Amino acid sequence: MVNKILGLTIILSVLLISIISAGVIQPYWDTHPLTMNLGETKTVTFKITNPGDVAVDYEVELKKGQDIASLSKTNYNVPPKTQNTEVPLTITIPSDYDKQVQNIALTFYKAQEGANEGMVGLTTGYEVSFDVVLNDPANQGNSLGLVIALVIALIVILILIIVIVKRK
Amino acid sequence: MQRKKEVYFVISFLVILLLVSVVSAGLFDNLFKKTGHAPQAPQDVSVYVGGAPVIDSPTSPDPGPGYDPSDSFATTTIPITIEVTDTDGVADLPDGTIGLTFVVELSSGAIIKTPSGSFCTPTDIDADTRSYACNIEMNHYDPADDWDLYIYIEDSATNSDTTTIIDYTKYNLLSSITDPINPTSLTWPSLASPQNNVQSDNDPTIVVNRGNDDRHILIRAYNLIGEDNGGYSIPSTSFAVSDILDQECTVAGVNLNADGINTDTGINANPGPNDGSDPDDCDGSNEVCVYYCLDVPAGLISQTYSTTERGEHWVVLYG
Repeated sequence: MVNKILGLTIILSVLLISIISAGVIQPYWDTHPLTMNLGETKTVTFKITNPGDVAVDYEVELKKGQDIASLSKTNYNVPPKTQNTEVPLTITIPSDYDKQVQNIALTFYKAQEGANEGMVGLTTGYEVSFDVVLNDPANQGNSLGLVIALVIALIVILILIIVIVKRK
Repeated sequence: MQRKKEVYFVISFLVILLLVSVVSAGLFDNLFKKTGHAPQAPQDVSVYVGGAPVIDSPTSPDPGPGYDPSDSFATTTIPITIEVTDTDGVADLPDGTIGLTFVVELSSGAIIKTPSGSFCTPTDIDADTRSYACNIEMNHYDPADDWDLYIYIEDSATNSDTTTIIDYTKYNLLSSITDPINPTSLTWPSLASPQNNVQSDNDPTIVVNRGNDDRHILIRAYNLIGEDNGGYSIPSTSFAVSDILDQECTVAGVNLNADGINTDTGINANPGPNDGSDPDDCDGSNEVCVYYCLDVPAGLISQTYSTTERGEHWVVLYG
């Protein structure tokens, strides 16, 4: 009886350990862009999750948007039972940046573990992307121009009225 | 003299008219706003009639980074504290059953959440103000989006107040699939060169969506290199996949791209509740199977071909 219970426990343990997962939490994605201004710097923080029972290693690669985005670190060890291993991505918009929208794309790869036994070894990963949208300085300029135009129109109206009054 | 007064009156009228037009057009809002999100700003509606309750807070979106789904299948708690004042005293307010809904609008319809147990924990702040601590429980598969908050409170005399906060808080996007993917490597029976339409003998790979990401499965495949003579290889374009058994070797199968280039398989493991199957199967709403087919090219010598020599595993990507 003792042997039977021991055998069952070991099998269950193996099954539990074999169920592992890992993922990436994204604060911005394809339908949720990040809005920024010229000359501004922001840090976008992704998180790698690992609800499994063993630590996993991840490699992060910046695939698009290198002209404004940078990673300070590309290799991460993600402890088990966590979902807060932060991957900071720094984005800086130069003051003379000429694009209105820039796509940022990253790939998170799980490090492959040793040689596979079959023909095709498999590992997992995630493609992550979002747009950085610049607040349109041209629109702000238009608003300012409208105010100036209104003030000028007001002054012109006043001058016209004064002239008319003086003539009479 | 009278004429001058009339002119001054006309001037004053014109100046006032101009100022009113500028202000009512929201011009200064446009000038000083930073995000360009004015049309999405919170729409608070507060009505105060003597003795009626008034929702003091929240009145604006939660400025935090949002809330994260959990791929351990646990729910994520979003705490919301509501403060209400009633000049008739806190005794006039409900104990804990208040109207609170957390809503996201999707093209397929709205998803509505209410506080766990439909009850919020009341705490009296002073003689006429009461706070309600409410918890909204989010599932790992609830959609990533900005969620709206609607609050309704009614006192014992059926006087009421409502608050609507559009885009109250964000529920973030979680891409997560079970890992290691099962099986961890693919095999084929003994092959000849050439030989077409050979199915893997240990597929499918089972992909379980543990998050709320509703995108396709991509595969980054690499050429299989001969283990004895690396001058011979099976190109990644010799493989095709499908999520339907026996379709992988038909025209319905999706051919994989060249070495190292992602292939969008068009296969989607929808976000959904975990069906609890152990080991995973392909029956759950959040599970999908991928089947593999190989066309062995002509001219290969007899040896083992694999990803081992190259040292690059194929990557099953979600994205």
